[in-house]
Amino acid sequence: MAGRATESGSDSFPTSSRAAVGALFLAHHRRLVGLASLLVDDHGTAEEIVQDAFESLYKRWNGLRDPSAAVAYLDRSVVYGARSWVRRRVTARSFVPPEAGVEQSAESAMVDGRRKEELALAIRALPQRQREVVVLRYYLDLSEEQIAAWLGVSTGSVKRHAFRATAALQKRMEAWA
Amino acid sequence: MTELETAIVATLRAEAEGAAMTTDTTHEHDILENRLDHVDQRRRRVTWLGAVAAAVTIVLVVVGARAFTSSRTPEPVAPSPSASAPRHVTTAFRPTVSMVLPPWVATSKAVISRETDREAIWSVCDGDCGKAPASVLGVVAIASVLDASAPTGFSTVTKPEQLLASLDRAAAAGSLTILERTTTTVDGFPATVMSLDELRSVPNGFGCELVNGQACFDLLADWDRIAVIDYGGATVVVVASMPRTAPSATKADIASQFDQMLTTLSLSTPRRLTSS
Repeated sequence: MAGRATESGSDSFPTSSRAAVGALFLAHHRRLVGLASLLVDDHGTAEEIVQDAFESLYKRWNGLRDPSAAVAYLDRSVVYGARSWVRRRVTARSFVPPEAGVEQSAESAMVDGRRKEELALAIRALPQRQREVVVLRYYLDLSEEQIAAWLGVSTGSVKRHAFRATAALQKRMEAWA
Repeated sequence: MTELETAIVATLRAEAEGAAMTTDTTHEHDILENRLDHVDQRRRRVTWLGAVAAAVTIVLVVVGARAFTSSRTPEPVAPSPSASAPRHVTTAFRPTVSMVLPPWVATSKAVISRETDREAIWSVCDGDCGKAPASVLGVVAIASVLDASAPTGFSTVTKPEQLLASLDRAAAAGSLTILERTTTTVDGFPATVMSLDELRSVPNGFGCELVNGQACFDLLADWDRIAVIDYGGATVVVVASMPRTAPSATKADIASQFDQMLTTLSLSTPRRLTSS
């Protein structure tokens, strides 16, 4: 997080808010769509959430105490955009376990690919709050304290969600082994 | 880090990179530019309207002061904020909805709004949109609800009574409590207004924008004030939502503002509703 914030330090910021937001968009758009896509099931929704985050940043640009905080602001806006009350679940994408007795591939690369695919499906099938904790912990590399602050819950709650999530993922992976 | 955790990190990175590679940043940048143009236009409009409002206020104050000094028995003026307040009219959402936004949305300095043909949503931030929204106002067209008897698990057509029955089933299952239910009319259409205390999350429990369980809303352990409108047999829902842990006084205030907003809400004729 700190690394990314430093990348867009205030020294290199364009002077106009419009130009600054445009520059941030070009630098971070793809990464933020990637982050949003981990939290929602639909690519179009992920892109919309990122658009919302940049528009919100533009509206609040003058209120930012430190422009270098803009990247962290965008990250948080994307996370919260994805967890608004209209969290969508496209049912067609709901988790479907693979057929029993699927033959193991001889090539380890293929096994790895398959394993990642299965794990990705299992992460998407987690309850929303557990999924958020997993993404914040393992993708954004936030501490439990930071996750608690972002999600507005206690550290104990983060620990419980993380424990349940990893237990569920472990169980799924063992079932497929 | 355990083997599982290493695998999770690698999987998330691969998933995010995959999604990032399929987005067209140039096209998305054009979309953002258009959105920022609209923001700038709104800012200019607000500035201009502010100046006009200030001028009108000064004139009224002067006229009022003169009237007061010339007559000791001024007539009381009944406040009618909704009559003079600007109306919001949806542009993409069908049916077209026109209403005076409630003060908690209209006066908020930080609102993220979004609109499609099936939903119009205002997420009200608590001062900082980098934090979770404090409340949400939404107008949503519901096209299907959970239906265990249907082959897909979702109804193919949703009439308002089907959504109400679905919420009743959720209440019977202990997922939510219906705190209050009244029948009324909204712009002449029959409507049921309720307060819901959602006790636990129910995926897809609020119904879906499209048939066969596509693009669904979850019940999310929130407090909701909801109006289910019978729009010529179709279902239009207006809802205010906030964390169920919010103070009771805040909920009561939002419910009051919500009900006031309903009195200002008008819908285009059902003939103009696009079929889903």
